Amino acid sequence: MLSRLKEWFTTGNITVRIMTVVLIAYCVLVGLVNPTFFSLEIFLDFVRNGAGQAVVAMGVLVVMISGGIDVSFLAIAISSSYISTVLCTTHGWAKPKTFLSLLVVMGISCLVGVLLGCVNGLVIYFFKLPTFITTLATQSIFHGALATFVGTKPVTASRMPRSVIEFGSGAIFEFTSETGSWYGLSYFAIPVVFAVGLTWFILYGTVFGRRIFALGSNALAAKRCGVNIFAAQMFVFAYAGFLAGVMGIIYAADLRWVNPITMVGDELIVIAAVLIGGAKLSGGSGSVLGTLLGMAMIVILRSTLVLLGISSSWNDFFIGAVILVSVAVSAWRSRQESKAALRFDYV
Amino acid sequence: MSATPLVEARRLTKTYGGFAALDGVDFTVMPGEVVCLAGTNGSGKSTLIKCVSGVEPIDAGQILFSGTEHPAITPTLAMDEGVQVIYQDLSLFPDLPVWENVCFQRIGGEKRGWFVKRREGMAFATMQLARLGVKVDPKRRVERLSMGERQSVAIARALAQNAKLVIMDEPTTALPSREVDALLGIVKNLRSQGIATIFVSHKLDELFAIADKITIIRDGVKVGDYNPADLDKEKLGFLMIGKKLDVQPVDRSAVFSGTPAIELDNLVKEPYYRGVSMAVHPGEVVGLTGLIGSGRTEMALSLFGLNPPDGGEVRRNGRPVTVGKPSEAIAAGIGLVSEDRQSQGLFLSHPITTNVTAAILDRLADRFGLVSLGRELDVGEEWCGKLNVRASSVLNPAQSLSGGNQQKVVLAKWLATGPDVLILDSPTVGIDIGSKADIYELIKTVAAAGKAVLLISDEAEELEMCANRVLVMQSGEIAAELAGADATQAKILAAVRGG
Amino acid sequence: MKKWTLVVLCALYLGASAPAWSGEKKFEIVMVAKHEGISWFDDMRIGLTEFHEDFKDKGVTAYQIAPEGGDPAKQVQMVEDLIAKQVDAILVVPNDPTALIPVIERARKQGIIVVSHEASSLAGVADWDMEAFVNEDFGRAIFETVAAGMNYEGDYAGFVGALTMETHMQWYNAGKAMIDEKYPKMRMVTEQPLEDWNTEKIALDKTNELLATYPTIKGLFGCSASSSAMISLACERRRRADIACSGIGTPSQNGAYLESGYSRAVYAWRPADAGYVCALIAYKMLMGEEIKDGVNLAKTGYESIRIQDGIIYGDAMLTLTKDNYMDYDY
Repeated sequence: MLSRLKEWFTTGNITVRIMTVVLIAYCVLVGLVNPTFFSLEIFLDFVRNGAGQAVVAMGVLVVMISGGIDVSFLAIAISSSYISTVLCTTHGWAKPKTFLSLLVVMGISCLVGVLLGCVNGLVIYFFKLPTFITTLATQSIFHGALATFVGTKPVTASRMPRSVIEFGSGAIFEFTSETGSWYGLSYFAIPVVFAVGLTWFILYGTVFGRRIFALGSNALAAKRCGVNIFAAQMFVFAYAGFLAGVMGIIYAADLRWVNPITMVGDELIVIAAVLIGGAKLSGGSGSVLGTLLGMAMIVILRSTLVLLGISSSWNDFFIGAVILVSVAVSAWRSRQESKAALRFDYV
Repeated sequence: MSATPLVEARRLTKTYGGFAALDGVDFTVMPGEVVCLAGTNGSGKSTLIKCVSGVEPIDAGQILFSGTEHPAITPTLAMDEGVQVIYQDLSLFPDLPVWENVCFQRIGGEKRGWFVKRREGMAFATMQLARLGVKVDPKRRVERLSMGERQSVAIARALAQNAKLVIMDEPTTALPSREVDALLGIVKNLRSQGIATIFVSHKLDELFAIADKITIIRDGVKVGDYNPADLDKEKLGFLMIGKKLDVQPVDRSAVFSGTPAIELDNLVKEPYYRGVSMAVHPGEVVGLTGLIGSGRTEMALSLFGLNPPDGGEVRRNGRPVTVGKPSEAIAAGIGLVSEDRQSQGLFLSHPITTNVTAAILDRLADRFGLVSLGRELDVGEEWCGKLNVRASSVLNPAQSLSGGNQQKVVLAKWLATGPDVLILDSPTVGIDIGSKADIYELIKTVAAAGKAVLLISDEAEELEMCANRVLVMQSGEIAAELAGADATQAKILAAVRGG
Repeated sequence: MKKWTLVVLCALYLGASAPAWSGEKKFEIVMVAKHEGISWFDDMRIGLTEFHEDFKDKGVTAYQIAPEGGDPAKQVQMVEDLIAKQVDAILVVPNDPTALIPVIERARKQGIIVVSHEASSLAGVADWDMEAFVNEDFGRAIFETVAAGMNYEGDYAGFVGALTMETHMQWYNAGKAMIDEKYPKMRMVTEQPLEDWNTEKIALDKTNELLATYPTIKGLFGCSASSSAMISLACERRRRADIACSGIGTPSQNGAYLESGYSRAVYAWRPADAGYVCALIAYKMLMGEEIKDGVNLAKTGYESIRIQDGIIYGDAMLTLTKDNYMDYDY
């Protein structure tokens, strides 16, 4: 067991290795300060708190592997969940507290997400625009269009479809603490497992997934090898939109509150998680496991300030420091490699 | 040979905006034949390759694959007919493992399924690599391979797609000499398996080493097909440029004495080189050669402040100097023209003038630190004139120039800084013989103007032409010094091989 | 050419200043709210529209603008634009009061009347600051509800938007001081209130963490509008109806929790009324009327205002409970 661990550790992806060490070290530190940290209740809260972002991070990962970047996913998430919940409440769909009606809400949300993702893909492909600028623009467009054409009135707890509320409050298994608090593994774990599994399968198990890597690794070569660039680009943005749609419903269910004017501003945190997890901004690389660890890192950093009893201003400081350190370490590594090979391209 | 040619081009014509890049060229490749295309830059070699591989439509003439004529040639059709091009950039996916690169079209298995067939693909890739006689771990990512290994991967990928003809466009430019030999071995290996090759290179030695047939093109017109046995270098060069190259070897009788412009005393940088002592006088060209790993490039980099030495002393005009970084080297009057001009020497997308003045901007600036475009233009034109850079305007981007002219621009950039010591690392790599002659002349002119030149080169011929003295390095030490009548190609080569 | 410019300038100057005594002056009164599109300020806009309808016969135009996304810098820009446009009165609900001080001073120098709302630090900078109630009373009301719910003993904690948010801190400081003085058996578990940056997700996640870290908590307060519903929601998920939650919030967002009992009471004021009253203050000043103690500003709770240190106080605190929250729609 120990030797296998050692083997994995010495041969695995460098970023994933560093992440694991940092994560463990941080957890030990927090645990020393406040032993409450090592409780099932806190761990299960992490799953609930980070679920939405973990799902959407998988979509962002796929976009970044293809060589692009997407900053519009939260605007898509809010648009799709708002449109979906408003449609369902005004038409009385998804009223019953059943799995089927949850699927209706989720389905509409994902559909809207895919459509908006396709808008991104089409604009980028046909106008040959840089993905960052394009999605920055569409982010505002989606958001503005939502406020202008759909509405700005929040969906509140009393209007939220019952199935969505149940999705947000129910648990796969539950416990009661000594003080009478109920806690458990939220249903949100299901979409997380689904998104991680699906992304894993697409990226590593399908030919199409390998083409996405190829596209990000060397776009010209991919073209010469007959990769359908249009299909690949449409797919990655549609997929990011699809997962944004899932995230939107997770948020709606978590907060029982969809406010069409919020939820823009945390994009960089998700992108940071993907980057910390080993993706390159230039594309072609990135890992599902690394992204999950990156997300865990950020969720844990964010959710341990109360435990540590320090002010939330440290939040940004910590997250910034972790991003900087992880990026610096991988840059340092490639510099070392360059130096060893006497390639002086860093001069 | 009476068999059907694999590829037969008849009276191929291709014009770009009224300019005939190819004009009635006939061209054949037989199965298993190694055809070397020779010609200067801009002679039409690349256009011919593009037409055969279907990338560029032809304007007139025909191309037949295995005797069959096709109305139009597309890249897909050419690939189906077994034509595979290995581009100079290799078109590999650096982030993907070797096996995926090799069998990119069939990651989904032989039936081209939807799902990754890892084991099958890995076995297939190993088999293709074995056909080349290359051992590369199929699980390694391509970005971790050496240039030579990457080339093998690119060729293996061509084989994986049932190549009958592999076209290699200047495959050896970026390769160290040891790996060049391996590549030539691979080409011979392909021939024995009945796979034809079109091979383009500016290194004439390589052509003679592997060609079954040398096809020479000049200004878009075919000069002829030759059996390499009927040619020698001189004749080949004459046929390529259409006139006799008049390059005189440097005058070896000149004696240099007095204070050396640069002197190295027992310089050490483990594990690359040790105990290196040498001197270059003003007006002298000292050649430095040796195999990859002999420490010659590493030492040259040390002199320019990259890869700083662990011990020993560098003296300029008799005074010790420290060159810990490039800016100190420049201040000490040392200039380096690096081998890899694409990544280190040139800002490819910037105008030629900007490239020429890049290293001397502070000198061009007025007292407010502003540089007028006019002055910059003047300097750019002055140097382009001096170095015979062929460009319609000095405001064109550097990437619009041919390789030889790009190299001249790099030279101009460093000459403009007015260094007293100029280190030239493989200045003619990837340059056609016409431009080579220009550069040889230039080196001599620079030396005649009183500069000390350290010329690093793999090509014995180049050293014989330009260097007053030749130093040969082996395993990090200077193994031989050849001067005067000893500095012949044969003796240099013998010393390099460890004679 | 130069002469013409001079003439045009003079004409413009006269045009802008001359009719001030003619009685036919058209007044333009503009509210710059914090945030475009959120229901709180949508309700405030109702007040401005109502004011406009009431006074348009007297030549008054009143309307509301607000920055998208609640950007403080954009808000400053909006006020600058209004100065350039030479409006007659600017009403403002600042995102960042200190950032607005220079522009407010500039506006007043140009004779524009400025009335702020929810920014008592601007008293003396603006012509008036208008508060729906004495902030300290409001904070004490929230904390009193929490204290009563936990039987005046045990651990509690809660939220402000940020430690730099002035009104939030006024509520918190007053409430905390009252508890420390009156109910010594109550203990706040964190040194400072938690910050939610006015974001529901942060408020909810932190409440979860809080409840896991301090299982003994019996009461939660929300001195930010985003946290009030979220503390109740977190308690509902944990089925801890015994934890007393109260805070500031809107009837729409908190209705469900008032109904289920996970929120004991929610405190608020009517933004529509506040908007109307601010506009009325500006109008009265434009008409040359004096604003003093006891003046009736028309709306419920503002019938007899009090003035202290440049601040106009109403008595318009709204206590929302299970029984009355449906009467309001914001």
